[in-house]
Amino acid sequence: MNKEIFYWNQSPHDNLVETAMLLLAVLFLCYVVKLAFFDQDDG
Amino acid sequence: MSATDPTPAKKRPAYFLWTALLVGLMAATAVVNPTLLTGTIADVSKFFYLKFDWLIMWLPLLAFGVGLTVALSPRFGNIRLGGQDAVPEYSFLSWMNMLFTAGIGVGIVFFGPIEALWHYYHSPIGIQATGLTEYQKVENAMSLALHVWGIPAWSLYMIAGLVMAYFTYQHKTECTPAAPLEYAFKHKKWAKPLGIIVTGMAILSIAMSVSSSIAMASVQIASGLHIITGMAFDSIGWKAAVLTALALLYTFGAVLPINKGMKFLGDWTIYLSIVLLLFIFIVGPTHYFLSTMAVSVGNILTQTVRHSFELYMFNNRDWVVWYPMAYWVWWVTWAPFVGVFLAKISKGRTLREFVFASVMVPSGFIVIWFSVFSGFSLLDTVEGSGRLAEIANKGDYEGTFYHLLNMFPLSDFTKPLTVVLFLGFIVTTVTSAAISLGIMTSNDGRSENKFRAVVWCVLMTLISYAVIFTGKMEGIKAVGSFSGFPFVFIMYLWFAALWRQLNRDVPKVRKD
Repeated sequence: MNKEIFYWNQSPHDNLVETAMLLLAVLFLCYVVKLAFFDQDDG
Repeated sequence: MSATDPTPAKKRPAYFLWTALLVGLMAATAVVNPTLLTGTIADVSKFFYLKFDWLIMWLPLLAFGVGLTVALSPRFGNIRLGGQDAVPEYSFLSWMNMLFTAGIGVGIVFFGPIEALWHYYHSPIGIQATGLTEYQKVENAMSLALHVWGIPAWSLYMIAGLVMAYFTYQHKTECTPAAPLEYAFKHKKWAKPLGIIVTGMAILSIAMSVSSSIAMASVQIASGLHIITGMAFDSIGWKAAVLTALALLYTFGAVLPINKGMKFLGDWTIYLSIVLLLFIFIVGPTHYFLSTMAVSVGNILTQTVRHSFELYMFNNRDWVVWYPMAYWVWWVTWAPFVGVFLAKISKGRTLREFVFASVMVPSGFIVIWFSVFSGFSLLDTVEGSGRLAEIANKGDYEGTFYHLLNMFPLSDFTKPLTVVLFLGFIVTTVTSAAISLGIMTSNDGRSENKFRAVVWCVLMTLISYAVIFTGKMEGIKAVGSFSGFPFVFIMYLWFAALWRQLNRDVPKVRKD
């Protein structure tokens, strides 16, 4: 049976790019949470 | 509360001049050499849709959650936009009519009979799924159609409008997508430069997306006239003539005050659509329509969370790029202008009223509309001639609606009515977009500027002419959705800005 491949055997280069993008997105989300709930600066 | 504490007027960048130039330049490139944009932009968009699917998927549900939290909060829900003594400027009905026609409008006519059919044939949980009974495939198709057009879509518009309205009326900021960020995070060095970029991108994405919609609507109206009369209305000359007529109407609508032009257009477009809907509901299989509505409401209540986190992981990835990523990004792309317009017409409403009305009323109408039109197409496919599916699967999307009307009595009246409906919906959408662009590029960023709104009407019409004469739509659409994509991230910052500001404006009451 022919298998359609979506994730299997992805190159390390692609994995690194995905990890970098994940980290950036998570950092952004953490910063958003900080801005919404923990940022005390009154400017 | 700082409703009486206006932000001091400050000098704005010359948005009007440089965004008009930027839009003109991008439009010229998109028309002269579309592959330059479509090739690169489409690839980059697809890459981001696929890699950020996990971040985009649940954005509408999050927007709904934030709105619901604000609405149900005893601290925030009763805040009245414009101050506690402010009174609404428009009746509830006109307010809803304007919101609906600005927000989605023409799409429901175009996609009404084909949306669920598309999911029935192409989704992984339609006819492609093995082991499902016929009724499950039909229900899944309707459930997916209502997911992308219903509560999630309107939640994105609601949150854009809520954030902009709150800052505009309670803090007298500009009525732009950037203003909430610039005000709430004014102590951050990045706020001002980000605000300028956000305003520029919003204007670019609005002008390009709306231009592509104008061109598409002109083609659809001309095609409708061709189907009705059998005459050669689908020639380029007639398409251009239709566009000219449209341009006169929406420019006239943008020049008139909102309570005359836009209110009149919104009201009558909705009334006409209700007449058509009621007609089909009564002369069509009424019990089937009612059953479809009941099942659809049940599916919304039970399936929304599931759909919001479903990535169909081992299915063809193109499906996920198209559904629901492209839908969500499309709504997000339109959110800045719908938000500006919604904010403009919502003075005097409480936050609770704003959230519930702007999500529930349009979503309710969508449920009824799609249950009737998409529901009938599915019924024709499962039990009838299958003619509507045949036409839709050939790609004759605008023809599907007219052929559906042919299956009912009095189609000689209902088909011209549909052309008028098309016209009404697109004119209201462009009018509201032009008003929003006029506000965003005005000197103070919060007042209507009729002259600049007219210039935007002219610019968008010129782009649409170029698209019609060259037949090259893809470049314009690609620029529109690409420049709208960053609003996925801006929306998260809007959540933070709103939550932070609400908590500052209404401090918690200490119980001790």
